[in-house]
Amino acid sequence: MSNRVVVLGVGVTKFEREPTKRMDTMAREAALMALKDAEITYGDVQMGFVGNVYQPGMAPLVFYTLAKTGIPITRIDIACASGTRSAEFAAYLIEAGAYDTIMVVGVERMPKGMVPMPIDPEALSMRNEMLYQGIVGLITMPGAYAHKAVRYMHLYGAKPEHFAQVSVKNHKNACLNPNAMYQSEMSLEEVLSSRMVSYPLTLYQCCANSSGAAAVVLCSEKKARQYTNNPVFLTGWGEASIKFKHDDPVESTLSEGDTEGAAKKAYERAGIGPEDVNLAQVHDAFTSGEIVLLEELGLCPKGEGAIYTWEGKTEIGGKIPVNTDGGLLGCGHPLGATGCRMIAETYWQLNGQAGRRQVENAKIGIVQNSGLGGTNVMVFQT
Amino acid sequence: MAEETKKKVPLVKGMIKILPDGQANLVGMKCNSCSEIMFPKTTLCGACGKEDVEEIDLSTRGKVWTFTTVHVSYGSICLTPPYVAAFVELEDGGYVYTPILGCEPEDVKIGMDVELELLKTGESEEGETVIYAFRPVEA
Repeated sequence: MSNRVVVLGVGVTKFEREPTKRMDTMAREAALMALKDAEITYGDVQMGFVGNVYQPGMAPLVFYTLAKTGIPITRIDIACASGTRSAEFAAYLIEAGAYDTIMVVGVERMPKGMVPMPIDPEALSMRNEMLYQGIVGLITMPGAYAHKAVRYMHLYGAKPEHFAQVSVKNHKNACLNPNAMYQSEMSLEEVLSSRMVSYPLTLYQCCANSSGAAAVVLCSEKKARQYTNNPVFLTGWGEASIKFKHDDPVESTLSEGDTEGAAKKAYERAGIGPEDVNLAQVHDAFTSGEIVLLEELGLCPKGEGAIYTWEGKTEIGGKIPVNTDGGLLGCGHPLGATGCRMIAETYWQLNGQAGRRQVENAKIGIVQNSGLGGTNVMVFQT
Repeated sequence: MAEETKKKVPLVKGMIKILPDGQANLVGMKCNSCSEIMFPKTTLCGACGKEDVEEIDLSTRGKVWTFTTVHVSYGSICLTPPYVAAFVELEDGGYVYTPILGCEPEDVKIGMDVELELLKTGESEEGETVIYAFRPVEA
């Protein structure tokens, strides 16, 4: 016997460029919003996960400031995919009937500048491939995305402006999202002429560090029926890391994981195909990411992601709206919080609560969230 | 009297084989279970996870498979932006992630023929420390 999993409530704080609040403050804010939205109290929560990358000890720091109810709490770190990985673990436990109501909080507090990389001088004595590449200067966060973009342009004739258009769209969508860090539009020219970071990715094609929190309450269908007649179901999910690919060294070395494989599992469990998807929140840490992900998620044919984007098919009113709340590019990227933000946006869309961002007839929404070490794909349906 | 040429010492052990006459090649790994050729060496086959792997000498030539030009770096002991980071597909199989030196970044193209070279990064007690890089093959 397996239980269906429901998203009962969500909460997202305003994402900030310069942090003004403590991490536990932001986490608590999001958690309380989610509890209120779910119409439950913290006493109903049976387990807590916190998705957070930089701060060991975050589980008690977050949950003890809510209350000490004795529930098991755990911090999950799989880089930028921590939020959704936490939610997936919660989903497995609820499905199995082990726990009924689980809260997932994603939170991160980050300074401006480049995301710190684990480069250790001691690594000189280690034969660790990634650390060696770091010392030489081959590893940069735009790395995989820049390499993928150059290869993509070579294979399919795409142009730098096709990638830049992703940033234009997502900044425009962010203006419709009061929680987003960025609240002004950017022209294609502005994006393309910003500082080159790693060819062909310019500064405004790279997501910015941010501070913020997002929380999600997940529960069984049985529990949910006490509170709502129209639950938002989490019907399928899949997770993966890098799967070595014989003819693709970028995929085998720098990618964030086998998203195609994770998506297949998620669609299969949900009993749908990519053609059924009404909207998608995907990991646009860098513009080329969104374009390649469209194809990896089966949302458009291989090689057509750039043109799909260029022709407006991924706009809110388009064929398959992508990153309706601004995505990482428009909202900013507090690492642990991003996955939960994506789940929240999907929940609001499926509930008809997305305001000016609302996609018509949103019934099936997917989330794809990835980071160094992992990728997660989740399917939500009403 | 001939000037003593400094001995070249790989910065990180196990990746580069340097012969007494100065010839060098990268040292990779071949899996006897799934035939993958990989660089650098690991304990198990990085593709299938089996233990039946053996060390092999890799070709010193290959073609650029993809690349990017790094303008904003996380720090490097030997490279100053802008520099090219590329995946090179080696002649006899396997891929290497490497800097491309010896040409302007704008001149790097997918499919370009490149060959191995050693880049000095500093000095140690044993000699010059070097890392591997690739440069365009002279036409």
